[in-house]
Amino acid sequence: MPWLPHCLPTALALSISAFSPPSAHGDSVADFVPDTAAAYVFLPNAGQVVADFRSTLESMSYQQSDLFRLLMQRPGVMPARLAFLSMAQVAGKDGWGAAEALAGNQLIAALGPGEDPAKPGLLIVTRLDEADAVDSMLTAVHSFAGMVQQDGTPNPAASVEIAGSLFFKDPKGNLHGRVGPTLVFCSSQSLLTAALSAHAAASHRLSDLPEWAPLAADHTASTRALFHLDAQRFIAATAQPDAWSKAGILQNNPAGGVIVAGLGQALAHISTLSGSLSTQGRSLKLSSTVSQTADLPATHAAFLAQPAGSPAFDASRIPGFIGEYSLSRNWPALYADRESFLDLNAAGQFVNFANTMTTLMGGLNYAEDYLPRITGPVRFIAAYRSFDASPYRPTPQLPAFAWITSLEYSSDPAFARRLFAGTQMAVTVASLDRTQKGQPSYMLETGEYRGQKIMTTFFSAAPESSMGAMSPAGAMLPGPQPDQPAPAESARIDVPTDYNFEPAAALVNGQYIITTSTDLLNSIIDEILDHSPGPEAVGDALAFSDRLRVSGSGALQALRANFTEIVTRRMLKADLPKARVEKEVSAALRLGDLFDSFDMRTLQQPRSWSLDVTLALKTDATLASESQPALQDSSK
Amino acid sequence: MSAFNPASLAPADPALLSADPGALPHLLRRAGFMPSLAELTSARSADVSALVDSLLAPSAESDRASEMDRLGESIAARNDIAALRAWWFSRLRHTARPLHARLALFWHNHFATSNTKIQSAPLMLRQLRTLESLALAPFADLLLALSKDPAMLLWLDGNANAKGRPNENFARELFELFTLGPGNYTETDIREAARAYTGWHTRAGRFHFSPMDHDSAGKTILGQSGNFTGDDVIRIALAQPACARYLAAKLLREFLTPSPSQELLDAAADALRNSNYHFSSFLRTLFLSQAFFAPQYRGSRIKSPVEFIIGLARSLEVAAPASTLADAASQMGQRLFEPPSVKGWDGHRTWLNSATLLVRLNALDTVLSAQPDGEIRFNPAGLLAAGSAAALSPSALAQRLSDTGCPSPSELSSSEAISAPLDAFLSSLRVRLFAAEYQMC
Repeated sequence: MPWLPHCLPTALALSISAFSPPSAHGDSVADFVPDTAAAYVFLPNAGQVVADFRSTLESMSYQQSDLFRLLMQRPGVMPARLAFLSMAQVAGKDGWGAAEALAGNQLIAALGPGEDPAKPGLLIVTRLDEADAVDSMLTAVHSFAGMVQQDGTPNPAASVEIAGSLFFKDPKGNLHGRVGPTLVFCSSQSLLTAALSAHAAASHRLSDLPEWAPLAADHTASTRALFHLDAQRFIAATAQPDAWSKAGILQNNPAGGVIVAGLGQALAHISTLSGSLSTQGRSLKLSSTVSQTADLPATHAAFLAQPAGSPAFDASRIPGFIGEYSLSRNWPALYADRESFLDLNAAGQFVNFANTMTTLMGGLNYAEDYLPRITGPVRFIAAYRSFDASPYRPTPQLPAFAWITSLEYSSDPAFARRLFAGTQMAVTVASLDRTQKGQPSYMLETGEYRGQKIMTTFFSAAPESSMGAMSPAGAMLPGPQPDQPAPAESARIDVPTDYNFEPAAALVNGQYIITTSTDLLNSIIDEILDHSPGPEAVGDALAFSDRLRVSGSGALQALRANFTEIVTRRMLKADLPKARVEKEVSAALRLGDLFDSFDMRTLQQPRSWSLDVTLALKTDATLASESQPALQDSSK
Repeated sequence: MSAFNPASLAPADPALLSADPGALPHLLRRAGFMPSLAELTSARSADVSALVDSLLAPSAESDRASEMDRLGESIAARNDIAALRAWWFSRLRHTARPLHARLALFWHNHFATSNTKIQSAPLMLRQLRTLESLALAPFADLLLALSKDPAMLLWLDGNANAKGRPNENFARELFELFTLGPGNYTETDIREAARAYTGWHTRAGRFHFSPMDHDSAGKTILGQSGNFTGDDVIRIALAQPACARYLAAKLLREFLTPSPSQELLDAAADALRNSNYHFSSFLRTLFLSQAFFAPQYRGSRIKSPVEFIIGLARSLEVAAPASTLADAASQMGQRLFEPPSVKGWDGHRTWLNSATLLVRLNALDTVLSAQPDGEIRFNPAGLLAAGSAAALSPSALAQRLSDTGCPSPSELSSSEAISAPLDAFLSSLRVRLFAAEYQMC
């Protein structure tokens, strides 16, 4: 079995950088890692990572933030900070400078066999740029912790010599010491001995493996960390043979199984997990790949990434866009092979769902007429929905949701009519069911929007009357009316969560759209009719198995609309005063305000499963409390 | 004869009360919940009479309870009765008006209405608001408000009560459970009273009088004849001697003893009638009476689940998710907003059985095992105040235990200082909380 992955993540494979040869600084930190290591994380420019992190945080004025103040109030944090600052001061540095010095110019953290067969040891090696400063700090720590005696000699009870080097031992048995230009920390004496032996013998080292040299060289200046895990070694080191047995993951849940069963198979046959973490401007990108020892079983072929189609529209352009989750599957095959990834009960639920849909969609068979017509990913979209113009205010105020399926039905012109009629029938039956349960029911309307036939709904009775079990029908509720002035806040009625959902549907240019609000339906139709896929959507054309996109500002807008609700729930949950909870929630929302976007893609291939995650921070992100208006319920 | 006559509502001797260290805690426990240390300390600075006045006065609510109180309508809007129940528990935990809170619980049991039928948290909240705002009002006002309360009308099928086809549910419970008690009315009285309430309906979640459905013809109710409406029925019922005896018995069982003597019952009924059903006046008489402080009544009531769990949280200054408190009380047999029947909870001995006692003991264990910074937070060192490192005298430790509502410790009689007071406090607390006496108040 190869020690390093067959193929490194795309980001690594494509990156050729100005690599500083190890000789410029002496030994590589990989020289200290035995080739038996089960996993490692390598930071080629560790000190720079610390410096950049500091720079990023300072640009956000983190020390003026409530979050920072709340963190400092946590038990033990302030004393630990003071102790660290004291240590740094000994070396004439501030806290960040000390962290930078300790991180060195290279850092590797590895897991390898330790004394305990069920618990791997941790080995951390940093190659120092500022050895004198680090030595000053270590001397201070040793004196403070009693690791050296009054005459300056090592305390025999807290030190040990291994392979000619002096190591200090803390009460938990962790060892640390200086070896040449490096600082070595290890939680296991046997792992440390193996590491030093390998280093001294210049053999059986991680750096001796043929795969290491290209790995060490093939990174760019933006690469912050490289990681690698050998599944078999990891299982051996942790004595957990079932650690990766995820073939049966979420077998009892039809929706969960449809999402993760392919990943479960990849994990069940995992050989290695490897990847990298890189930065680009204010974006952080994680790329990782699970390499398999065997091909994905034929019964799971439905999970293989499908040929990419051209998306009908770019969801991120929808007003108030919060997020989108897309699944690309071979749906007919998925339905046919359901018993291969679901247990009997869950497979039965899947069949029941299909049968119910068949019943509701009168005349259309869900499995035979509908699923085979799906031509692209199934998309779930969430967008902020304002109730400012509404006479009522649901509690909580949920976003509007949309479910969009791309269908091919050119060979059956009647299909569109049958599908639309089936949708109307489904909503009618659902409304009847709600009425029987005493829940708010719908009035259904059909009409046109920009020449497209649409179906919309609105609530049939005033919210309050729907709460009484026996009340007669009250005034009709037309929902938010953009042309009307917003009602006075005091006149608005708090209503249950149900009032977030007013189904609407349309079939536009082959896109079958079901939404929970008419506004969102209209916005999607606008996008389909007005815009060809933009630059962002070009990326959509790349094949993926799953894709999750989240807009930081959209998500934050939805959270802010529910500020009071979040605070209330937290007050009840934590039994804390309102002022403190408001501060906590504001701080958390402020943290959320840092994020511009989140983008995650997975790609299932016959012998690998890969994941790419990009997290982009706002360019003007700040944590400072004073620089932002009070975060309050925007609906208030 | 004891200095406190158990059958007399005559005022107790203030000098005797001042000399009795158990009097104030007894009053606080009965007129509220087991008090916090702060409540105890504050109460000790006043005499019993002033303390009773302050309990009855509509004093300002605590900040924590007030801020939670203001969120009631938005929480109810979710129509999630569990969330509303948690909200109620949070207010009970932090209220600075424990007597008013206890009275709201008392009336919730008296006018037992269950959301299992209503299925509307907003309407249950509206009823609770009515119970709270009129808890100490003249009983006629409370009865009238409840007879027009939408949740009550839905609960007792008011919308089905129409001229020509009267529904007797409300009229029956009005006499049997709300005012007179069984045996003090006839079936004819119920039928006639039901006619008086015809047309009292709900519409769009509000009371609605439907003239078309109201039977305005003459009726004979409890010996009186006339074209009575629902308001008249309440007036007629309250004029019955049985009403004062029935309500007095319920109030005595709630605040004094599960088995009041005939003599005490007569005295209480007289007092209630003389107060014209003003509960504030009646409770003042009761809380200052000799009977109230009689030794045989102290520790004679089994705490209800809500008294137990809220008292535990207040006296030990435990912070916990409100839903956890509510769920614990539910498991102990008292699920607020969902009384088991129109009769409410039977209370007293029915609170304890092998299952509910186990839940109570588990709740104690959960609290004693909690950490100062966990989801359920308990800080015994904070309760000790002196800190765990300092030495503490046995008498001081005994006082702290007593302050937490524990039965008085007897073995802490040595004068020798305790070197590890926190350990001693915790171990003594555990012994006492798990004692049978802790289930009583």
